[in-house]
Amino acid sequence: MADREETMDKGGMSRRQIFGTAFAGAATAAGTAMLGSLGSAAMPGRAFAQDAAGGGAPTSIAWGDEAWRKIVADKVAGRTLKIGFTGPAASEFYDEIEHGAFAQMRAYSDLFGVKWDWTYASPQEHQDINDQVNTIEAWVTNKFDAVLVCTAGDFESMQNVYARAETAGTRVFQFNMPAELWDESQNRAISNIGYNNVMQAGYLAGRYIATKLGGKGKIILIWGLPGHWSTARRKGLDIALAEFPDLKIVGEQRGDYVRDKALNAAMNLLQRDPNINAIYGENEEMALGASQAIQALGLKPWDGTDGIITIGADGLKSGFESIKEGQMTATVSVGAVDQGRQSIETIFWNLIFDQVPPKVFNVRTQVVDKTNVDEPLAYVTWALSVPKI
Amino acid sequence: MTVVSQNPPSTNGIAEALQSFAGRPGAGIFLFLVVFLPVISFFAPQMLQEANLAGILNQMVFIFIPTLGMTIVIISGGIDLSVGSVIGLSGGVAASLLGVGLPLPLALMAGIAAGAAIGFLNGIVITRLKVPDFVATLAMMGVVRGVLYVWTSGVPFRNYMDPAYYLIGGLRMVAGKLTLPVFVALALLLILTFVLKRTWIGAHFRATGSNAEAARLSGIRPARVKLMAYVASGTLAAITGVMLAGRLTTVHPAMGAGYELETIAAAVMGGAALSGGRGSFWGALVGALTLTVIQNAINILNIESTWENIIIGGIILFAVLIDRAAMALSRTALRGRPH
Repeated sequence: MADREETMDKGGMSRRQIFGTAFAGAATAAGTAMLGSLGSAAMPGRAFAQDAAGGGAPTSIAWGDEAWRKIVADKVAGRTLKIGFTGPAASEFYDEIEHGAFAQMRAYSDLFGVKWDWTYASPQEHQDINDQVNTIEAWVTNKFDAVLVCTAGDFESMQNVYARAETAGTRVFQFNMPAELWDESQNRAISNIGYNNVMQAGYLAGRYIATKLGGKGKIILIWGLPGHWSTARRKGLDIALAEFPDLKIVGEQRGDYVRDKALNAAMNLLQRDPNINAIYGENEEMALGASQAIQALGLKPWDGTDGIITIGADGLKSGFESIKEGQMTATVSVGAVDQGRQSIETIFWNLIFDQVPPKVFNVRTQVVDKTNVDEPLAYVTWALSVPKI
Repeated sequence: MTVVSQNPPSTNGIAEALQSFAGRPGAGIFLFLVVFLPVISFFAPQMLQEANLAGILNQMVFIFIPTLGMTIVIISGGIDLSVGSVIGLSGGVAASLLGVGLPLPLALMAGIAAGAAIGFLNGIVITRLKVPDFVATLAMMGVVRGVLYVWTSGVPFRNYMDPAYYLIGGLRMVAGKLTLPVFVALALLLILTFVLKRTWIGAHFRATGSNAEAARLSGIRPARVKLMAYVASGTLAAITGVMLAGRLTTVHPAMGAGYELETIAAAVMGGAALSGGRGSFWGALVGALTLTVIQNAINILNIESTWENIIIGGIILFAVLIDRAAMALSRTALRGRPH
């Protein structure tokens, strides 16, 4: 490491950041090598090496020096951290989170010499809780240092699983869970790295639809399996739509998070009434299914002023590409890559230095449409190019 | 086709015809559908609009085609739980080959061949290794789905679409508001009905399913018949899979999950007996149609989503009961009549 340059956070806000040649081999530009901010409470900034003054001599400020790095590395002492990662289903979304984690793990390996023993597991059946609990218990038995859990399981019963892990010496972290649904003091997980599904997802989608339609129109909603996420996003959507009495929800059906079912549901609803202004799919697969239904029925997708808006939530590479191609109108990108990176950051500083992360850590989210798709698409593409661990 | 013995044309026509009809597998469900559709459309007039009816047909085929295969397997005394996984894998094979630049027809054929091969494997495990049908195909369901997950690491296949694939997937209309898969299904229905009714194969399937030992003694080779049934089921599921890959424009590793239960439900609603020896392709059609109509009605009536599972399950049960009642009635009527 030790290649130090001035770093600026994307937003211009300087934070404690370190800039290493983490991926110097793969780096095509200086900015490709990215590291998250240090310290568990900071947002994972996307640092880039560039002179902020624009052409002037770089005022070399490196966030963290060799003395500090050495202390961390000594404490790590080449240790291997054994981490288990389990989501409710295998999917492109969880793959993006995992790649965010890979990026951060590789960066810390380069900096501090820490090694990672990473295990991934997801239930075969979408949201099979039993399967997932068995996995976690097996990891706990095998003395994992930490487990990263995203589950559709009931809050109270998962607390028992977490308690057993705690007793056995495995630290539990959650990711991508709508932590806002529960009293955080009741959550035994050390931290929940995710985003607020109410205000950072459902609400944003509702606002986007309302703004684009001028507060007036007919909306169809297509929901995933009943559970935490749909409950939370529903809340947010309702908050947003409450301000616009002329926006009417005229159909609300289930797509169970899969394209197949959402496509049929959207077709059925559009055949019933083709004069629909927007379709909200609770995840991108379903929103993409709805976009396909619109095209198959010869209806007009949103062109910026007219047509049917389709908006989802996830921030998948395939979703961004479909936005670029003008199929899906928009999506709420819920920071999959940042969730992965932040999870590793949180785990590392907690395991090695016992630093206490916030109970609920929310990453940034964003409504992405054709006008701003390039940056998130490039970011996700980069993360997916990081080799697996 | 029907298994219940055909009555010779009789003098008191209409009553006889009705009795004979009620005895056909799937007749009860057909009556249910005939009553259900107008009743529902009273609440949602859009149900009977041409576009919606075409939409129902366009959606129905993806359940109907694998149900044809399931019906064959059930007639021959088996059950195929691997159908959903085969749909996923065959779609995955077609999509991935298309993605690396293979021409569409070859990619489709490879996908279908993969399904046929899995069906063959099912048949071998069941007939040669004597593993019970349920267990063998349950295991295959897990293995094939697992292969798809390992192969994709959970990330869907995409960016493989070819202009013609939109047509095959039913995303473009070909005749009025109907799509190509509807005609594929129709062709399969006619061909299979012909084969089962007009050739020795049908008799062999039924004989094997009713009583494999008796079939064997009369010179039929039940193992071969069963093998054929599973190959047919794998092939038909794969035909569905490669078309579904075109329809969804992406193959998620979970694609087709749950189809096995829907096809079993459709086959049984259509009068197939899980004890073997009995089943009907036209019944399968009505069964698949009923499932699709229910889903369509739920969407159009905008029924609250938490009720969906209860309603679908309840209607399946009710529909099957009507079918069984119709059959019992027809049997009583036949028994009471002098021959």
